[in-house]
Amino acid sequence: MDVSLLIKETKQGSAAAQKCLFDLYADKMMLVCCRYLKSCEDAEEILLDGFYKFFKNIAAFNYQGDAALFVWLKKIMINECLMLLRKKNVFTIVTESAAEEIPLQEEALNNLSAKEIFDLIVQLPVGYRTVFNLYVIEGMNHSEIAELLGIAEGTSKSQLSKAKSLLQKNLLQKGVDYVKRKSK
Amino acid sequence: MLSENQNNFHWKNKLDDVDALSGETLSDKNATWEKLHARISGKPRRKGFVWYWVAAACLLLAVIIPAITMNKKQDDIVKNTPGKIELKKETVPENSIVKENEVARSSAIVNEKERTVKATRQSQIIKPAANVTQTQEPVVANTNDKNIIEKQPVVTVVPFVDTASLLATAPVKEKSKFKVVHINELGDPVEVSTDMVHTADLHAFQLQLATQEVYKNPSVASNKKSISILKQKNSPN
Repeated sequence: MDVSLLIKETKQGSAAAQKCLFDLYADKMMLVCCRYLKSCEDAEEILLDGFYKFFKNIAAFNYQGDAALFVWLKKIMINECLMLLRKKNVFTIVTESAAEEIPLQEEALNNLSAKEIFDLIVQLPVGYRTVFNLYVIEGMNHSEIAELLGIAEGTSKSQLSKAKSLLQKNLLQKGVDYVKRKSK
Repeated sequence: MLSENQNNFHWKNKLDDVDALSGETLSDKNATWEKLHARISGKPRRKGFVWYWVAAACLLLAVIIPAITMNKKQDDIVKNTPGKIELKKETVPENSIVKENEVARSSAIVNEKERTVKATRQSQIIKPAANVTQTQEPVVANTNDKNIIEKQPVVTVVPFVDTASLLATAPVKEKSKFKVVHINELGDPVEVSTDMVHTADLHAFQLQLATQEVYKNPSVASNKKSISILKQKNSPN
């Protein structure tokens, strides 16, 4: 299916093209939303809001490839998720001094499947998870994260280090399970 | 720092795989699309507005119910007092005539009353000796006044009477007058208590004012040295 043609038809207001685009990206965007929000209901609501904004503002979008469309849609979804999290006021975290950076074990990471890593991230508390997603996955720096979430830069750093230490702990546990599974 | 970046890179790669997973997370894609399509095609979202309408309706009820109950109470009060309403309805066409009559009557009453009061005062001043019989005149006049004044509430109840006429028809309180008794009628000096002496002071004082004569009574002593207590007459009369 030609995405550029779908975009063109969507700009002309074709509902069928809109549905095709939705079917193409809905699952992926749902996963992105679930990475930020624990509740599936919230994630679905945000998915709807995100696609609504996408279709409303599609006239301003210049198609430059599927990856660009994916990034654009993902950015919309992440912004919507952060808006909801801000509304729920989950970032009222006490500023703490940045904890020591703990490198995550690569070996343990390699042993785990993508789905298992996803589950590990989802299990993190909201503050840790959001900062971890923005820093590690989206590649933002701490000043950008602080501005985006309305928190201090030090808070972002401390949240990240805590998220990493918790992930490390969970990874080790998972790694032990993995070794046990393999040995069997 | 380098190891950290590498570590992050690994995580990112792994999670890109996660994003590429063919997730089964969206429960009902068609239903979700229907919702989205409804929103895009311009149908309003009902979820939030319902609560606004409910809140508005509650507010409206909270305003209307007390207003209705208040109106009912007022109606009940009006029904319980039918006489006043009838008075209003009846007096409105004859208002000017009644008013004039009332004013005239009330002014006449006042004039009569003033005259009688003046006459009694003059008689008291001129003839202090015949007080016992003459003091009854104001009482008689008062009874006459009362007879007239007793009719006044009927007149004043009628609405739309101006304040001037109301003031004119209002019963004038007569000043309490002491019974004037001649000093000779009191008899011999008697030992009295201090309370009685006090009342005697008042009598003596009044007599002194009326006749403009000085009476002295050094025999009866009062506890108060500032006031001279009078008992016997030193005047030629």
